[in-house]
Amino acid sequence: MTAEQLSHSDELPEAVPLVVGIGSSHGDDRAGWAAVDALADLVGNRSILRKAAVPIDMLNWLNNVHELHIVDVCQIDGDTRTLQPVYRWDWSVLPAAIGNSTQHEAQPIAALQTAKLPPSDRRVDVDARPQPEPIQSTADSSHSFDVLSVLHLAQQLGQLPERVILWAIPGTCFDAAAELSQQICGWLPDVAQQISAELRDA
Amino acid sequence: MTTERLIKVEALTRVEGEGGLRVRLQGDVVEDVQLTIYEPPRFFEAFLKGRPLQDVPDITARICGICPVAYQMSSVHALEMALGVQVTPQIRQLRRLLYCGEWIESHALHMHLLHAPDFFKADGGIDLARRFPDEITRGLQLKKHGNALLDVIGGRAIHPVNVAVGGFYRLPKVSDMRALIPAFEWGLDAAIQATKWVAGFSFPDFERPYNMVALQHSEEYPMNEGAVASSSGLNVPVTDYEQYFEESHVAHSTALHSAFVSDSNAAEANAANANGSGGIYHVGPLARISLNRERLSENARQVADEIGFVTPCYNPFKAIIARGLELIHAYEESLQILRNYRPESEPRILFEPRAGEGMAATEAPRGLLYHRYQIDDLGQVTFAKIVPPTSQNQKQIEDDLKQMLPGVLHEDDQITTDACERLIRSYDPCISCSTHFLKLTLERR
Repeated sequence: MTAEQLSHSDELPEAVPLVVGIGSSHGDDRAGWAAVDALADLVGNRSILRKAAVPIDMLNWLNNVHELHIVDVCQIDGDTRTLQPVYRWDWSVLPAAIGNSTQHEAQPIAALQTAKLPPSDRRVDVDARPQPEPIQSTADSSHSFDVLSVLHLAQQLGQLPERVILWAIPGTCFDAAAELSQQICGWLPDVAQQISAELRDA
Repeated sequence: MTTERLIKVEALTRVEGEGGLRVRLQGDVVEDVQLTIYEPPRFFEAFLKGRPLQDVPDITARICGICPVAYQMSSVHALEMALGVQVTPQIRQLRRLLYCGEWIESHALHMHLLHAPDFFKADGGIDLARRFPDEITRGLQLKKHGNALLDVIGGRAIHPVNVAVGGFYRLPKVSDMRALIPAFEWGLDAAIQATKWVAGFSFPDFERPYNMVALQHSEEYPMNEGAVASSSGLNVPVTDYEQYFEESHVAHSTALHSAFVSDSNAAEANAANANGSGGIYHVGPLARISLNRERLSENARQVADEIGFVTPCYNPFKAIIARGLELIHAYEESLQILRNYRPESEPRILFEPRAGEGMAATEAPRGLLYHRYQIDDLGQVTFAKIVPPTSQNQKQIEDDLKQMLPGVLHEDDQITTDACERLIRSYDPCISCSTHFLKLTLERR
């Protein structure tokens, strides 16, 4: 089954990791979907792949999921000269306030919209990858719950998988109906490899 | 000695789009209330000019991510009037089904995650989910059903792509429609439970003598067709809408305000103005139900009777109950269509472009949505006018606040602010939709 076909089914065949790419058809916002497509050849039956247009769709797919990987685009606030192909956060070690403050729930935040890079632009190895802090920013719409709010909601509803990993690909152009940038296209094989390496069996 | 007190809400929470509130008080006297809309104007009416009419449904759908179907429906009906196109009964029915999907999606989300938190002093939907996990899970499931229906009929849940002038680009498959039935059977019962849940909330004792305005139809609960009616006695074809309602620009809002025409010769408009309301009127679920209660589905009417929902209902906070009743109706009507669906006609009526003018009004989740278009003989748009429901409710919201404030002024600013926000949220305002047009006057010196 293709990732798109799977997107229309709620039933997961077995307890395997779920990878959800979030995006739209506007420029670098395609990154999440493109990452899922790049993963399709690598993961085989080791994981279920889904594409979502809005983060809240994820709540439909969490039944029997022990591990969730979310891939989305982000915008970088900081020195953009040394961008990494993808940034990674483990939900369990994110500050509790991220995505859950009253103020920011009152102003719902955009999905992984901004990541702050550490000031140093030195190259770091994979094991010591910088853990930039996802910064909340105001979203355009309270009808469109962002990724972090959806995860908090899933937590409150007892639906959050044991392990949740957030992957954010830095994007720069989000023009309506624009194609994915060449830079992100070039990063996708590396991104897919990194995500694939982290998928764990139940 | 009187003191001046200024209450400002820089950014309203849990509403669609960006808006604020400014209230100026002199002692206990409310001097001024302004619902400040500062979301940038979006100029849809301007950039529709020169576009092929076939592009209009897809462009107007992007006015709003939560009610795209409403914009598509108002646009196609107006353009079909201009073209003299008559759709088949099946196309008509599928359009109602599409609208059911939008009502389900929008109402379920607003009821559970945006409005219900106010009744429990919860910070938001996530906080409420901690206290009512089963109810919130049920609400999210209802929203999912709405999305699924939009996906099957409209081709996509967000900004449907299957709506065309003349009908649809393709008819849905029988198998896809039948596959929805089990979920919708569950959903009908869930909608009934959800409505009974919200009907049990504790509602502020606050009523206003609204002049309700909505479509009214002789045979069905209105979605895409009907006369424009009001509780002050108006009942006119949609083609006469602009004879009775006018828009105006106010300095504190990038969204236009609407009111009954002040100098109309029509008795109905004068009646509306004579009640001292200043031409203000109320659109949305309360107005629809107040004017069309007997055309709700059987289960919706039964539940309304069972919970003692009185119409006309003049308490804006009880709009959450009206949304619940419309949820029930949408599920019941959806099931009737899903069970009996057989592709019988061509997906759309073909047409030749011709010059003309057309107007239409449909009932968006938030209320009456009016469109008017002029097209040339090449089929290009030469004029567009779009009047969203939230624009039409802005004056009513400000007036409600003016009346409500004296009762809460003795509280501190935070409590007063919260009360104002809760009142605004009861309207489920879509500020993003309402900022579609700005009149620009250039003064050259």
